[in-house]
This record gives sequence, structure tokens and C-alpha cells, in this order.
Amino acid sequence: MQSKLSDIELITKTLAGNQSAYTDLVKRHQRFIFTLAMRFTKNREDAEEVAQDTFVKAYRLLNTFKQESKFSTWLYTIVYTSAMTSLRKKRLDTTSIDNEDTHIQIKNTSTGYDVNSAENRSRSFHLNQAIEQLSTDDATIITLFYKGEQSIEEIAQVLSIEANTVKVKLFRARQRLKEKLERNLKHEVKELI
Amino acid sequence: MSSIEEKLWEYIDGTCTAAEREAVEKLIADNDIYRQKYEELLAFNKAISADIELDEPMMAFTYNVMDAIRTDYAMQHPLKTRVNKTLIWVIGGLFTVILLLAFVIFLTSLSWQTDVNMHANDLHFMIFKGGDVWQAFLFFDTILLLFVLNRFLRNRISHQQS
Repeated sequence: MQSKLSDIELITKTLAGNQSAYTDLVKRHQRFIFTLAMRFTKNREDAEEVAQDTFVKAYRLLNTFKQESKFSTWLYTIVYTSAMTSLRKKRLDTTSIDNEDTHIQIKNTSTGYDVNSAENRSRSFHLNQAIEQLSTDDATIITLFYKGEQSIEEIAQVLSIEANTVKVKLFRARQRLKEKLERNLKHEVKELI
Repeated sequence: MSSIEEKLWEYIDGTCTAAEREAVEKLIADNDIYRQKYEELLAFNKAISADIELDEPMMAFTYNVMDAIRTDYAMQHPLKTRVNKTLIWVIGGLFTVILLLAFVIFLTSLSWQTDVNMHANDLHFMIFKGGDVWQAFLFFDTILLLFVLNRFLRNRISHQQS
């Protein structure tokens, strides 16, 4: 069972030497951090490594967290940096937001779905499939905005870009997501939206 | 970029100004194309909010993270700084007590009733001439005492300086 204490309370306890408080923080944020890492690395193994590295770095730097932003925003900044470092190390090309042709298609990345089941034809499955087909930047911005509960300004902080740029990128990402859905589900898209 | 869509998204996201918001609300109310587009985008927005699934890391993820943290901590804080100082004091104290006890037993075992000069000489002989073990023991104690004294004075000086 996860702790009902706030992030700040858990951080205070962790800084006082209570390691189990940090375990609660990890449990609380691990799914989102892992999802974000997946958006960057497009690979479960690398995503696990990036997510783990993020939490280790966060623990090491916890006393530098000034509480001027949300803990999640601070954590997402670390996952972004860790993912970029990991990608650089692996000499992978990060795709540009405006370059649709360089999108990486994910194959065999298990997200817990069984392709043949009826459930897979659900709206959720198709939406997540379309997100996976987006570029890293598009998928990250959409995930941060809709699941990370981050404002435009907070996303700008995480990605180290201007808030107006985030606004434009989010607008384009949503357009591209809609196009992907329409392409994937020519007949079902009307039902979906 | 469609300016209609752009304005509508800003309205849905709540990132437009009060004046822009008012203008968009008026357009939605008066213009069928705006209203239709707004409803379409709103439904799409709700679908994204509700249907994005978060990926699940492997079950041992939390354990692995905490294990990595412990390893990282151990690497950054070597054993030297993690030795409990109380333990050192306990060992030191025990050593001192044993030393004193041995000395007391030695003193009580001496027979002071008989030829004092001879026994005093015995003690002198035992320590300085005859007993190799005793000489080594006393030498070790002296070194240890000097070492402890040195540490104590150094700590005191550094404490005063800080």
C-alpha cells in the first residue's frame, strides 16, 4: 500500500534518513517515469535503466530540491536529462519534432496488451498505439500534458524550452496524433472521437 | 496551421486571455462551424485524457532502485566514515580496563613483606632487563598512548580553529 503522505512530507522524511519514505516516492512515481523513459528510449530494457538512473540521481540530489516547483516536474527534468544522456551514449538519433519521416516504429514492445484479444480493439489500445507511432517529442509532450499533469510552463521547464514553443509543439502533436488515429482506424475513428 | 483549431485548443487548455476566451465563447455560440469543431476537439481531448495508459515497469523495479541507491551510497561513503565511533571508544575502554586489571594483579602478587630491596630489584629486572614480553607490552602501550594523545590534540586544535 502506498503512503498517503504528500511528496514534500516524504522528501522531508527521506532527508531525515528514512529510506522507506523514498521507497514510497519511487512507488508513487515509477509508472509515469517509466512511461516517459519508454517515450524516449522506445525500448523496455533501456527505459528500465533510464528510470532507475533517474531515481538514483534524484535520491543523490534530493537535498538540492528547492521546492520551487512540483517534485514531479523536478523528477521529469531528471528523466529527460538521463534519457538524453542514455540516447547519446547509445548513439541513437533523437527525432526532430518537425521531421515526421524519422519516426521510429515500435515493434515487440510489450505494453501489456494481447494483440488478438477483443480488448485490444478498445479506444485505449488504439490511442496508445498511435502515441507510440509519434515522434519522441510529440509523445513526450502529450504524455507530460495529459498524464503528468504538467502545465505548459512546467513542460517548458522540463524540456528546457520556451512556453510558447511548448504550446505550438503540443498543438502540432495533437494534430499528428489525430492523423495517426485516422490512418490506423479509418472506420473506427469517428467512434473514437 | 488552422487558426480556428489553434484558438479552440487554447480555449480548451485554458491558456488564452480573458478577452480571447470571451471571443471564442461568442464564436462557439454563434457559429456552427466553430461549435462543431469545438465539440470534436473537446471529445478528442477527453479521449486522450482518459485513455492514455501508463506503462508498468517490472515487478522488482522498486527493489532494484533501492538496491542501486544503497550501492551508490556505499560507494560515495567509504567504510572509514561509517565506522561507529562508540565502538572505537568501547574497544579502547576495554583495553584500558584489561591493562589496569593486569597491573593491579601484578602489584597484588608481589610480596612486600620480605626483602624489599630484592623484590624491588626483581620488578626493575622484570621490566627493564629480564622480561621481553613486558618490554614489548610497555613499548606498545607507550606508542598507543602517544598516538591517542596526538589524535586528541589534533582534534582539539582543529575544533578550536573551526
